Amino acid sequence: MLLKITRASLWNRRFAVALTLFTVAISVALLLAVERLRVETRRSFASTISGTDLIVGARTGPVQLLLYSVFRIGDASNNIRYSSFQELAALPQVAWAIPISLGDSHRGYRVLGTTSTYFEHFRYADQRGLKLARGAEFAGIGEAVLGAEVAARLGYEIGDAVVIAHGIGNRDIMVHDDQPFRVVGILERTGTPVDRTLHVSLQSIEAMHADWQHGVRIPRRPTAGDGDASREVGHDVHVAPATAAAAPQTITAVFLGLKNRAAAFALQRQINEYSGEPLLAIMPAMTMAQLWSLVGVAESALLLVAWCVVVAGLLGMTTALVSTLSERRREMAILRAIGARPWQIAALLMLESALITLLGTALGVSLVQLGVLLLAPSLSGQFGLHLQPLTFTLRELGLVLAVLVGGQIAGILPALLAYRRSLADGLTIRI
Amino acid sequence: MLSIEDLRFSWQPGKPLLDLPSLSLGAGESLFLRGPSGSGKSTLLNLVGGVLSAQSGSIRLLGHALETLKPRQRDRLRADHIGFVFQQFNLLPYFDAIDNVLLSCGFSPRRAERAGADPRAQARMLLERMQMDVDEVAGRPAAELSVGQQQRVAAARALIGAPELVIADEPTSALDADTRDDFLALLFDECRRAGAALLFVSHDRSLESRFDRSVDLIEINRARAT
Repeated sequence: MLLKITRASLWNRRFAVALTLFTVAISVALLLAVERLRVETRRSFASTISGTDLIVGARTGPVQLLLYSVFRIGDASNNIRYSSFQELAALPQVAWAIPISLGDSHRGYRVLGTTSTYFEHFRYADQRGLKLARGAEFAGIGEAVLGAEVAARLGYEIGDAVVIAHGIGNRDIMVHDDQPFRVVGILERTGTPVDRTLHVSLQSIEAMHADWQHGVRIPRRPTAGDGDASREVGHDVHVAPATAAAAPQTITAVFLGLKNRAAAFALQRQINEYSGEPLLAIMPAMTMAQLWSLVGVAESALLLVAWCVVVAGLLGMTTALVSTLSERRREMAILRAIGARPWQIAALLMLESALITLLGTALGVSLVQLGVLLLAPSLSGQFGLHLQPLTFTLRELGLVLAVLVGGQIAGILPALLAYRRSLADGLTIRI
Repeated sequence: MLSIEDLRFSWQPGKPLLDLPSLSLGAGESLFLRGPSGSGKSTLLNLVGGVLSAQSGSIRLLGHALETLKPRQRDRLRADHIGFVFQQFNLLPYFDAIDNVLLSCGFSPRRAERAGADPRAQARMLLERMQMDVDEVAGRPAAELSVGQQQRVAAARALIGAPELVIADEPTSALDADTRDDFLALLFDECRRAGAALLFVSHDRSLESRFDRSVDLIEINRARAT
């Protein structure tokens, strides 16, 4: 009987009720959307690199090393010697070693010099390897493999020429235009910084910088008949062409895969105490967690704001219900005359808030599901966030239940007021 | 069936509103209780309905002394044994006529049981006896009915499940003369048919002659006399 009265009463005020319901729905949708993005962002962040047991670079902060080697954010303050890399690669615990060399860019996208071991051993997400969407890996000097976003945004295809700038940034003031690269391959989308990277061989980087010292181009002095094959680099240092380019002097960092992961701690210590030059080894997972604890504050703040919006929505419902009470005093008096107990009057209000919250939440959940269904393709393409449409996690269920409980708490005040007024008014209201 | 003895009630201490030495109503009897507004009749009805309790004295309804009952028991007694008709706005505006009548059964299992195997059919029958075109008003919210129609629906609601007492508080003052006479005739007929006593409160003396007995609240209320 109470439910029937509540339903009819709500339907009678359907316009105002619909507004309240939408307020609740939108706040719930916002809460769930933030939760979705939060979980997915964290997952996407954590899946940037996997399978690499140690990252080694010049001595700096662990987070900084992670930022520039994995996320391509910021610059290395120092490079490490190529000979150090060779020593690391030769260690008995090491299964594989990927050298990387950073420092150049192409229209804002970083250029990464490496070897074919990168394509073979680099893993992201759940041990996924890099795959070529088109073309092939670079084989020689002057060949480039593009990340998916670089190719898509800049409209490059296999065979296009790419000019690389020294340093980082969009303004290609100092351009290696004497050394244009040719696109030979384009990688499949990964949703990681790999998508925003141009990959070339270490030798290409070396060859590109052969004429440069301290970031400035040194005019080439042609030597007898050698042409490109022989160059004189400033300070009368002779570098043997081609073969010399094949042996780089320095690199930026090394990704190491170990035969036995348990050896990581010991090896990390060993590398940090290396006497040849100051090195820093980090375990990616640990430093990622450290980095996330910084980033995570923003994420928690976002969730807090979303909760505030939910509270505001439910307070809006409380206000709407309280404001109906005076015009419904007659209704309450009629029910009292018929024999309704005061708690039944209060229960009517509790039922109303429960119904509004329930319907509003259901609508909010539907909105999120619909939104994900519509936006998932573009989010996945632009930000590498893979939202699963038509799913509902246990955590989301928890959030929804919390909102429902909150709705019931928000109904207590109007119910209490209705209870007290119906006791005071009795059967006849003096208006 | 209903007897009041030495009932004293005041909203504020020292300012008694009601002081009734005795007032009674027999089973099936109709009583006209005359009183202008402000004479304390609404308060008296709230006391008889068990919504208010008096400072002293006794109200016995069907053998129950209201002052000894808990609020819950008084609410139950009201739901089971009393039907109310007020001056105006008796109905839930968003329910149709039939659902409004059935409200009485919704809050009282006893009256639902006394309304027969099919309370809905009983509600329709009562509305028809009240000369309502049930098919025409069914499904229409009560707010769309005329005042005369609304009062007849209220009477049907007060009567369904055959309560022992029907209390009518100025039920005709919002009606014009013709409608008023029709309504009164129907109300009398149905109270008689249900065997319900009728306590009719009004200031309109022209109605007085139709009742078994008439009492002037101002005359019997000692609180006013002094």
